Amino acid sequence: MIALQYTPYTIPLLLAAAMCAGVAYVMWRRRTGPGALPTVALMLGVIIWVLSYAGSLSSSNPSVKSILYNIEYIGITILPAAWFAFVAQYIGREKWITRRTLALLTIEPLLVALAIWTNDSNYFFHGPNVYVVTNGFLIMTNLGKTGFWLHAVYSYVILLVSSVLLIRSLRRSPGLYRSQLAMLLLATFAPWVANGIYLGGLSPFPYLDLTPFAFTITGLALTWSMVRFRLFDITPIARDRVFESIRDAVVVLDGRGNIVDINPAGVTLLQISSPSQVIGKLVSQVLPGQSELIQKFRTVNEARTEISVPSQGGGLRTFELKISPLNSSRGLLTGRLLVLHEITDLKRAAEQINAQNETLRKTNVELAKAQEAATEGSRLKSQFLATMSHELRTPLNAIMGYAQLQLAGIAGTLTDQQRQYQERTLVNAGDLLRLINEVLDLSKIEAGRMELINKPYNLRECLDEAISQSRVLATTKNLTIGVEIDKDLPVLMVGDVARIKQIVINLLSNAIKFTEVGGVRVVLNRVPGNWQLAVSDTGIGIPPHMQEIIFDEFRQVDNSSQRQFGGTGLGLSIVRKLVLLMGGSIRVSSTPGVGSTFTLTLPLISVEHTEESSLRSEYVTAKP
Amino acid sequence: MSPQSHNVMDPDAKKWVVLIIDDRLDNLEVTGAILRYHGAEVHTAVSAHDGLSLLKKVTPTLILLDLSMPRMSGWEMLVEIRKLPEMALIPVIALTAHAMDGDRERVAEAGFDGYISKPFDVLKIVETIQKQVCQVTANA
Repeated sequence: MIALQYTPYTIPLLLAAAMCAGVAYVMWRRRTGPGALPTVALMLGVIIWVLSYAGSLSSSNPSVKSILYNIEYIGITILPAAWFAFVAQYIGREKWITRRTLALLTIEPLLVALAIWTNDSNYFFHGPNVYVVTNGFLIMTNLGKTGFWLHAVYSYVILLVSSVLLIRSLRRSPGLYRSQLAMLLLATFAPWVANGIYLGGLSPFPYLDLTPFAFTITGLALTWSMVRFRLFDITPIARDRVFESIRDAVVVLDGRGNIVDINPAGVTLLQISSPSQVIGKLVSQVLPGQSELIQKFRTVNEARTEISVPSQGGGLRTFELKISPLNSSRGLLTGRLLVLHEITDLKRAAEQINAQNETLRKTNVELAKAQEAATEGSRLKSQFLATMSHELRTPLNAIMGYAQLQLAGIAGTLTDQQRQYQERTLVNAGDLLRLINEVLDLSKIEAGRMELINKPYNLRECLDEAISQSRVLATTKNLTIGVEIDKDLPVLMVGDVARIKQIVINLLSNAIKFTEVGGVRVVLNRVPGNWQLAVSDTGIGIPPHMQEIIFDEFRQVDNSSQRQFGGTGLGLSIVRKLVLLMGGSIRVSSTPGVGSTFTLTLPLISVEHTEESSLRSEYVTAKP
Repeated sequence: MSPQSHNVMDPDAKKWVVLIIDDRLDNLEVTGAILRYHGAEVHTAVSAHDGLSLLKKVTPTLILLDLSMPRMSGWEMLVEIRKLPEMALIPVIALTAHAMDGDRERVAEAGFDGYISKPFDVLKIVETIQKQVCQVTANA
């Protein structure tokens, strides 16, 4: 029969068990999270220990007490292993938790269990159980033997190693983690401090093991951590993961410039095999060749700059170095964080762009040179045209001059034959002169160097002059020239009068040239935005298929007509080019045997529409 | 220099004296012949330098000056002519085969008193000269 005795000690023990059960429940629900399962194991160990201890205390039956005491050790021996697993996971070293480690960690609990359950025959673990009545309670106690002390040392070592690892890993962590750490340490050390007090015989209650009571503190600390600091919600693991996996090299320095931590990207960058090669060393020793930089940033806590580091494959790798201060929660500088972000590719891209820009700039220079050469070429061409014109005119002056002198009778009286020959010389020289003028005009137009001199002019006067020049030829052929002028046309208009006159004379001379009977009719009209000049004749006409090509160079209706009528076939070509240059148009309609009409349309620019003052003054000077 | 001497065709004037400068002998011959025919006293020079030395001996009432000549061009000679004080009012007409667009304007800008392009109409040259010189006199 189980005899129970009530002790006041059972209440905190049950409280501790309840809180640990609560933590275990919460952790079980989050069992996929880091450190959760070890925490569950830890809590289960505590619960086993605390409950069996409570039961042992409450029981008045020595053999029950003894059995429950033995059961306590199931819980006790779980704790170091569970704590180690928790720390390993919490600091992100879950790779330490292998089957092998777990197997190793089960050896001690099994050995302890074996020793405990066989203790009565060998007293290896503890001496014989002694039952003492204190304060009216029956308490079982015993003296630890070799097995117990081995177990105690083992447990303390595991606990201490784990705790040191935890402290080390959390040392650089900011506020939240420091508070977590404090709570975790409190939760960890409270039972062991109590245990130490108990083992050292310092307990005010000589036969009472204070350790399980201290688990009340453990439970409270863990619960508080969960509620207040969201322990297990945010763990350093995530940070470590980032630290480990980030592609930027991260180096943590302490206040004196020693490397405290470095991530794999940093290890790769420094071309070392493991972090241990540089941890604890001064950063200036590790980054040789960057001493100037180190010097520069020795006292700088925040900076952003670019550095170049020789790469394995030769060449340079460029990094953006960012230095940030690490401050304690009280704002004291505890170290610095160096982040090296590789920008080699960016740099290279920028260099390529620069190179391309340079190429473009060079191309532009070459283009400018080519442009210059083209301008020079164009200038030379103009020069050539001017020289050609001059050189052709000079001998022609002598030829025509001598012929005219003879015809004037200055060299004596000529026979009819001589006179006729001199006249033919003069006519042919005149044809040659016209041809020279036409070729030069055409060359100028083709070279884009024909410049129009637009000024106010009197179209009627211009037309009169053109007609009077053509009338000589018309009269000799006995042709009439009729003129009809629209009254709406302004007297003054703006344009290149010399070129307009050239066009009109050309059209008139063509009309006269190809007309034998009848006459030429000139009609000048105002049409919207333009003025129109129609030159009609009663000549041989142009077959429909030839009506377009007569504007091409060196074309007349047929070659025989050239021999018959003379001319170079350049006239209409030049006319059309000039008309296009002036922004106008020219077209022909013709019926063979009946006659042709050439219709010239040019923009009507009245003087009023242009800058009155300048043009007016120019006009006044031109006609004083 | 008396004002009448400017009127090269004044029937009352006993003589009109013309200096022609041209590097082409044919052109000197043609121009000289027609002017002599019209009663002018004609002096010719085949270069600007010859023309300038001639001006030390002869005082013309009119100068016909070619533009394109080796060594010293007509443009340069005009500047030299204008430097001579007694030549300040003598009309100088460019007689040139430069007959491209703008040549007439350039000639006027350079300070010539007239412009005749080659080939010129021999039968009308005197008329042309008279017209241009009269215009100069009128403007002056």
